Amino acid sequence: MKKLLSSLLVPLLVLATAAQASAQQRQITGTVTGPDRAPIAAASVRLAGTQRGVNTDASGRFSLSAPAGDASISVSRIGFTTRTLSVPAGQSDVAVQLQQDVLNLEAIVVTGQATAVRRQNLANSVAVVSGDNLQGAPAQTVERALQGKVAGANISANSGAPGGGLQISMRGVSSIGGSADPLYVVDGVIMSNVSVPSGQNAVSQADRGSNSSTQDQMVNRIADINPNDIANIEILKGASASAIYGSKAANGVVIITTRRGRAGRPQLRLSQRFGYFEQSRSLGARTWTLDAAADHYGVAKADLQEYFNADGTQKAFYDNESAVFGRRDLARETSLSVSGGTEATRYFVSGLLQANPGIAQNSGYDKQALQLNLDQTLGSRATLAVGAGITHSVASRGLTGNDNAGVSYYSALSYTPSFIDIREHGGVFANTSDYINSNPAQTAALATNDENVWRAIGSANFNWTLMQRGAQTLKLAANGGVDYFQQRNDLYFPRELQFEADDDLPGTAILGQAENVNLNSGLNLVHVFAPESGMLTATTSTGVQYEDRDLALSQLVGRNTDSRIPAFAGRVEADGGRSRSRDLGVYVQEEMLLLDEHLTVTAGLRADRSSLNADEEKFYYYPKAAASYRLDDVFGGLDELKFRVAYGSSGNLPFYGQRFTRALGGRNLEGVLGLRVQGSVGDPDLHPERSTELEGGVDAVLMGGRARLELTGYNKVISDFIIAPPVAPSTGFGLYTVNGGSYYVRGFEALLEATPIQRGQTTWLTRATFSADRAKVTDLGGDNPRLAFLTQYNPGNHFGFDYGGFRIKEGISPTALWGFDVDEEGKAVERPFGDTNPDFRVGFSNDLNFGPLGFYALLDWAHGGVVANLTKSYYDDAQNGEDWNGCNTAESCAGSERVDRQGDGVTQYIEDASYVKLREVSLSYALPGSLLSRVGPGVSGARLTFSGRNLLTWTKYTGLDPEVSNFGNRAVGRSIDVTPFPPSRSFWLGLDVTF
Amino acid sequence: MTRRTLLPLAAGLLFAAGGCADLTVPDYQNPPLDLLLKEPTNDRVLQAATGVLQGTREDADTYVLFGGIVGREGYFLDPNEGRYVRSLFAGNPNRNNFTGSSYWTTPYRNIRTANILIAALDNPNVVFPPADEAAIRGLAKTIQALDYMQILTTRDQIPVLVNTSLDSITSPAPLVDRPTAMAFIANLLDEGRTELAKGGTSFPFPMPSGITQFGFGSPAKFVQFNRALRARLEVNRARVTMDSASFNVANYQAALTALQASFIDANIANADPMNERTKLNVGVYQTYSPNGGDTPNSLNDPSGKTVADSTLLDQAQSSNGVLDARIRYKTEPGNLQIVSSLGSNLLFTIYNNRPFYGSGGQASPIPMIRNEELILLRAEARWFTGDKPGAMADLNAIRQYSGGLAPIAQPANDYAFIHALLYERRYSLLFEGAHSWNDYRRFNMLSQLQAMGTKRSGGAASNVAKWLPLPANETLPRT
Repeated sequence: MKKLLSSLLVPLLVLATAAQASAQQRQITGTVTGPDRAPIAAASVRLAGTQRGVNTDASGRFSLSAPAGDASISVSRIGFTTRTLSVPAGQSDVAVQLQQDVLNLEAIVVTGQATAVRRQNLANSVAVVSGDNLQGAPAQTVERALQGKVAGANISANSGAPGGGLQISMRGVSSIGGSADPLYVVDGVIMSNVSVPSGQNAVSQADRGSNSSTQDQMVNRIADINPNDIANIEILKGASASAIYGSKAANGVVIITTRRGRAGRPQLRLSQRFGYFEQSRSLGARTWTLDAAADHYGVAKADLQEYFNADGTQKAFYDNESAVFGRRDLARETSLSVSGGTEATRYFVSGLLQANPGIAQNSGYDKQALQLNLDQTLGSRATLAVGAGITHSVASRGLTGNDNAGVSYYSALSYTPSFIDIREHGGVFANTSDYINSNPAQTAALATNDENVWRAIGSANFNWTLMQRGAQTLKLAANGGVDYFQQRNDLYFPRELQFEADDDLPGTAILGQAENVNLNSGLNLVHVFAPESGMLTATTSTGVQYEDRDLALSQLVGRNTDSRIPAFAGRVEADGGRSRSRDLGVYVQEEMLLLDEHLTVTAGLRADRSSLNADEEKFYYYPKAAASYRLDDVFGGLDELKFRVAYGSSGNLPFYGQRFTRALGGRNLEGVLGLRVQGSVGDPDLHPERSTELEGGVDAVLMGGRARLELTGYNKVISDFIIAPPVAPSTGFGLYTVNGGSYYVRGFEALLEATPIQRGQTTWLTRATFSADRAKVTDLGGDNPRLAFLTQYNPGNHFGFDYGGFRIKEGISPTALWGFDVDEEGKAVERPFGDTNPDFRVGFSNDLNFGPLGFYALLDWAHGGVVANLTKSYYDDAQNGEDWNGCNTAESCAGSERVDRQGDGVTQYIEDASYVKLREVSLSYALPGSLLSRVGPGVSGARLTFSGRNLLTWTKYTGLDPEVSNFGNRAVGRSIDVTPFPPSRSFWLGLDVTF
Repeated sequence: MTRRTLLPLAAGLLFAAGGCADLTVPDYQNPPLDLLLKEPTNDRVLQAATGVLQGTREDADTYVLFGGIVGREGYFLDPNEGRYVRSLFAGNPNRNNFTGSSYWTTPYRNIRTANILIAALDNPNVVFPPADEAAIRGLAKTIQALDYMQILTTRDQIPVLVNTSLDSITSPAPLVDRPTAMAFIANLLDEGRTELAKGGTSFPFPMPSGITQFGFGSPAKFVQFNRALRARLEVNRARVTMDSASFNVANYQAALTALQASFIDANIANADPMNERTKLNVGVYQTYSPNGGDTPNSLNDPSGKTVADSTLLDQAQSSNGVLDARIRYKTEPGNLQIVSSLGSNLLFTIYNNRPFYGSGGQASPIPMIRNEELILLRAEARWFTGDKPGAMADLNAIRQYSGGLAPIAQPANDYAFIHALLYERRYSLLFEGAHSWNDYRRFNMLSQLQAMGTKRSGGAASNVAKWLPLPANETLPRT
């Protein structure tokens, strides 16, 4: 085999060398250095306007053959700004100093399955966030680390529970009831981001009669990725950029590249951080008087006298919120990475040990990760890049969110009066059953709700230059990956718990197991035609992708038990489920750089099939086309001006099971199996939702590369969205899943990055992002005659219009929050009370460095948007909120006035959710060289950092956190606040050492 | 071949290859309905026949409970779910998912299953001996008729579903009035009878204990059940105007004819109705089982939330100082439950320790129809067709052998007879199928029922709803 290969390759090599030799006329040699005058290896040195070039060696030296006469060379390297300089005929030796590319002007951005272009030629607005940019302050999950950094991405936590549960919505929402999550691609492997219910519903009964629910305060599994390993994140926000990912990309694509080794001696980085978390917002509680308490609880004053003074005032105010959420335990995070290798073999190894105790007892997030990335050159024409990582995490989530059993922490707190001390005293917790089913301090101390996840991800990317002759290059890129995780949910509620003892079946043990396998593979051919003239570079690519996603669930719930093994319980309830999809996509794409790389024209087409569509044999087509034109040196101060326009469409697949018209089998009648109508019908034409986007914008590089401005407008049309319209039950069917309707999202995004100061050791980098979008339903029912009757449609998962619900209606935003109002005749009418989507979002960060000192801060501002604050209605039902104090002495107070309005159809629990958060702040000090030797032998750098996350929040919202979603990740249906896990802030002290 | 054509060719090849790959993923949770719709086999058809018997029992307990609450027979007092009191008992049913969709979705789903089963019998792949095919058709139509009759007890107008294809999913059948619906059901029963008559000696699939317990497991005996339902339908049809004075004699005549072909047996003599009720209980039942994958009877409620109307004790008659045996047999005192000011301490025994037959508990059967009801139907039909002595013989037999009560003399007028009849029906058919509600309504006497039943303390007004509303989803596609 080897012989065969070399017999093929050798003639090609000879030919190529001969072609070069004939053009050789003189030799230019030189050295490339960085701003610190250190040599830069692997920099590209090119004759300007041609494809001819060489790379610098380890000492930064190069030797390039050039035609006789004056020449112009262009020197570039990732991380540095490109320099073009002229070399007169007489000069043969040049010294080139490159400047740091602080603004990422030179970034290479992925535009296809196997192709990429330089950012300056890009026809889309693609957000690029570097790994260093994710390190502002420690984040448990990658979405946290992205908050406030991407224009057009609305990143919002579902609750403050440790261990994840956040949603990234790109450019509004791209679905009504379908998947809301973007596609995550890590080193070419599509990574599962499913959320698996824990089974806490078996105790909380948020969804009555079920043992698991979307209200289980789920973690979406992208949480398993180690943010420290990320080298780079590219975000394709809309269909015009993501079309090449076809029917999985309507919510955008997050492309994550992990760190890889570089040739050179081993680089060792050690980072150690210590910190703690504390509750950042709380609600307070009413201070009672004896009269008010006796009246409200309907008991004799004598029964409550022990809590009150002789004058009727409350003896002690117990801060029961802090009894549950008052912990500030030491958190730590150790990460270590080693990288290096030779030109042929490069490696990167990293490890992470993280232990983050939460603010409640038995809550927290522990994670351990190990990652190995290996790059191997195979001969001169092939490279193999493999990655293997394993992560283990335990998220202890406590018991929060909606419940119908009075057991969720804030559900219990809302009803517990402040004269009761819920803390443990001598091993005994106060019995609060006069007020609510559970004592939350006891629940937090004794109950377990652990999500234990093992995840292994392996990827392999093989690139092979099949032929390279003159202007023509043909490459093969093959990739394959496996993403496997096993999730085990161990929940245990011992018999001693107050609410368990009340139960007929005291003691509950729950074991949930999920196993997920994602397999994907792809084969791509890339042909590049780049004649030496430089007038044209044409890249044609084609390829095929196959993916198999398989998730299997099983659950055992044991009730009436003293054992953590549910199978041993007095009553055992078993459940299970499985979902799977198999997808195949084929694409072809043409990218052309014309006019000396000033004009970029791209066109592509992707065709996708999926087992999730009613017809798995049918291809659905996703076209794209884009163009950009760049002007250089327009006028003084404006170095570059680019106009771009892009069009494309992508899809969102139906969920597993929606396509099926089901019979109900497996049930028996005295042992005889029956078969009957189950009630769900999949439309025979059920197909992916489609998002079609037209995007246009202007990019400018200003002030000699010191500033960059990006302005983008887009119009996105989501058509064929999937709904389950009401079906008359007399037909025998209840659930009918069908494509029916469309809406648009229009928006504007701006990004300004600048380095106003970049002088010697002093730099100031500032970055601001702005985004705003508006959506409106333009059609409900589509052209489907069966849906002609449909004038409005209420997607599920809310608590009715009494508290704020959702409705899809023509002319209204799909994310509008509806409630009851009263019309002129006093009749209750339903109307929107605002939109859960913010009016606009702004991110603003500043990074200042004065020599060894560094200061960085990031503000995240969401303006507008509403939240349905049902937690407040809990406190009102219990008359136990802080603003009920006035009712101790007066007939009415703020709290009672709210309750009085409950009858007249006014939705008083819908509140403004605007906020500004100080997301990240850090202060760092690089130890001077004289001190480094004291840190340890071989230390080349050390930095001491004090940082914090979510330190300050400014908001008028009266609940715990305006970032909230009781039902987890969803397109329509966020912003419902029901007794969530409260938010926390964290403080950190860290030391980063490099060897 | 030049490079420029290589890539398009490769793309074409990939596309062609991609088009061939098999991506099929099955439904892991459930079998496809196409097993019956498109490619039925004998085996699947027999499974579907069992499915129809499963489907009819699925909400029969809900029917008894909801009908029982409105009819002041029994209540469900759950502190976490006040709507059983606030909506159902208090007579404020609304279209929301609670009362609107109660006993609606499930029986209509079963009617659909039966329609699909009947259509599958016509498929050329399904070949049964003619007698077996007729037996299956006869059973399916009879059970459909039972489902329709029970739906029609709860609503004033209903859609009747002829065998329409799935395409009609968003255009439901039109609503029809009661006379039309009743004529439709009568015809369905007669079609069932005709098929059963051709049905041979046995059904080609196993019959559950609720049907075989009293020997109705063959087409020849099952047709008697069909006629019993027809008799119940005709007695209801006779009072379609819901009036105590006007009625339709022809329907009472038809009821008598149907009863003759039913399993009515006037020989119900016993020594003590507290010990021996088998002859009264001969009939056809819904079958339940607590075994895995089977369905338990939810009216078996150890939590004690399901209670009987406490006034049943006060209103019961006595003879020689001994209270009506029916209330003593069917209820027993338990712990007092109160929800939304409605309370009772009376628990039912018929779905617990004194079932109609068998060992009780979660396997307690619910009657579809039984002999005691047939005798009462005959009493009513005889009275209004002029056979007053015959009517009194039937009525007094029930008083004596079910209630342990002394006979009464022939009432002076129709109104007095109705009054006596309603008492016997209320206690004889207590909490087994919405009888009180239906009876007081068809004689236009719901106000009497309201006056008789338990009141909520505190005096909140509680009406007896005449009908349950149609579900919101049922009316939406029709507007």
